[in-house]
Amino acid sequence: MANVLVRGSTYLRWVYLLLGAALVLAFILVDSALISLLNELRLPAVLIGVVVVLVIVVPPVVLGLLPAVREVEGIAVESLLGVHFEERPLGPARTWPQRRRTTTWFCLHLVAGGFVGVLSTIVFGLGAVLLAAPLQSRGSHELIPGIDYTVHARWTDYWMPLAAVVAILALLLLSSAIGALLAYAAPRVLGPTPAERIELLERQTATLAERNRLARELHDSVGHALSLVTIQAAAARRVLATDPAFAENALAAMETSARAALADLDHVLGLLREDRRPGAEKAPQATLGDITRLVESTRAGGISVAVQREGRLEELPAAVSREAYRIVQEGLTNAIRHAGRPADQLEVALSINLGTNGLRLELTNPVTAAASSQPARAGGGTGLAGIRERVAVLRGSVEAGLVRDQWRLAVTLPVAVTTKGRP
Amino acid sequence: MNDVSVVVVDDEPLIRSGLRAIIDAEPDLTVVGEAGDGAEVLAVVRRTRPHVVLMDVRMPAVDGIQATRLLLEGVDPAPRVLVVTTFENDDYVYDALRAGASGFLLKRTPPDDIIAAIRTVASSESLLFPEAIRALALAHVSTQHPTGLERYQLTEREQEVLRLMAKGLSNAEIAAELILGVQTIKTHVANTLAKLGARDRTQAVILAYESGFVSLH
Repeated sequence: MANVLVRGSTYLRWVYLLLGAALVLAFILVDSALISLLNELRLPAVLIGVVVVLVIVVPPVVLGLLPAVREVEGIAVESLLGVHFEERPLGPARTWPQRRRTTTWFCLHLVAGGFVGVLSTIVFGLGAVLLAAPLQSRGSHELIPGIDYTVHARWTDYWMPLAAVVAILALLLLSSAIGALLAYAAPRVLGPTPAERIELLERQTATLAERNRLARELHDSVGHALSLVTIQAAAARRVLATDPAFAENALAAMETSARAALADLDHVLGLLREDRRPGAEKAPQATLGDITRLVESTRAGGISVAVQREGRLEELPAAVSREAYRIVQEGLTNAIRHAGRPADQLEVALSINLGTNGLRLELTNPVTAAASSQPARAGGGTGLAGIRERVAVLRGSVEAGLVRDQWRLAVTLPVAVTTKGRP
Repeated sequence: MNDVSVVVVDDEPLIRSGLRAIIDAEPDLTVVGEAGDGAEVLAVVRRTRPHVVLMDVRMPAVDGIQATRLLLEGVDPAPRVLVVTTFENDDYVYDALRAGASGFLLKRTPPDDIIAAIRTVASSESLLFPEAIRALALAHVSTQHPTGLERYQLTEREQEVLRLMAKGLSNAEIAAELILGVQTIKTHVANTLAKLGARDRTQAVILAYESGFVSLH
């Protein structure tokens, strides 16, 4: 028992219940105003009964249905009741079952909190008086209207502070027990349902699989680049004296593949970092508006990028704009990976054109004969697959292939809404 | 030792040119041909008749395992195949060894060791990287149902020689170990390989591991 009293959780749970009590108090203030108004209307008693019940029940239920309540209760329950949900952090309610469950929990919180709040008010209000009772003057004093206590100025007066202490202890034990009950119920009532948990797990599994794929791809591409660097360096060292021209070419090749590997590393680590940020799904993602930054960072790698833009890109629906950004990003990465020439000799032309036919993205870059004869390195082509997937979702079309000695990627995305904004 | 001719197979031209430069820098080694895919290997090998083929494992059209099989079936006498890989734990490496490759080489291997490996494989005097082959077999062979090698009817001496081959001992070392002449050992090795139907020491040792004749542990 003493254990319960020294545990921090007892007091945190009590605070959680008092929060419920504070809300109850707010509801009571509104309710009492409405009910006194009702009394003046002189309605039949039955009707008044019904309306009173409605007035008391409806506001908390409606408030509980608000999506944000799930999030707020989730934070309060996690930090004060010490409950860990499987969905972390608990997001706002997205579905009606979630809202219903949240409102059930909210009402439970109010009822339990109201109960403990009333008890706390009584115990602490009267407890303070009783604690001080032996110090008061002899005679009868009023505790609350109708209940008096008598001070005899003898040792027997000490039953009163003793009773106060016992009551406070009992209150703490009771609120700890109620808090424990709530903590037990929270994952079941407020937390995700089994079906939601499965969905959650599936989503986590998908994320892990995606990361796995990224890691494997990175392993392959960086491994490939480093092997190339190792062998070229070893070769260059052997022939440095006899064939300086070979050594110079080897150095250039090493520079290029090391740089491409770094760019790849950067790209994948960026994707993983985005994943890791809490609430990444909601974080604003880059749109075509951010294309300048993307192009500049590509240019920083020594690649020359010519950009041509047409149309009011800012009027694009956000989803299309985001996907378009991703497509350009993937396209540039592919160009760097598969062009088969040093970065400083790589020229990429990018055109973004928003017209009545929709959004058209076009990326062209010259490729060397060696690279063009083997466009699908092991692990390669996943970038293009990613682009196709994105485009399919938006019901657009993709053309990718060699046109003379140029690799050309052209994507058209249908955009209906934007044309109305055009002059 | 006679000159060793080499064909380099890799889909990455820069790997080919690097390996070529490393190999050609040795007076006794010469690169006589290159191929950019497994599909081209057969033609290049038939034309150039190399002693050793350095074979990349992962290639876009025909991979190194398939190409090794094609080579060993389609060319007579078949060259020794040395599989070249980026990653040690590549599942394909063991498949390539089973397909008949004489050994494997990591792309990160220092150039002197690459050269030494080519010479070892060309001479077929000893097993290349016996420890690595044992580790690969350990990862891929299930020793649940050892079949043994009884049906090949090896003599006691040949069994002894096979065990020492698995340890990576060269003919001369085996001869010293068994206090016999090198020529005698060469005969034993040749007879063992013939009885097992093995192309070379690597095949024989893999068979020894897979049958449970030589314990992996």
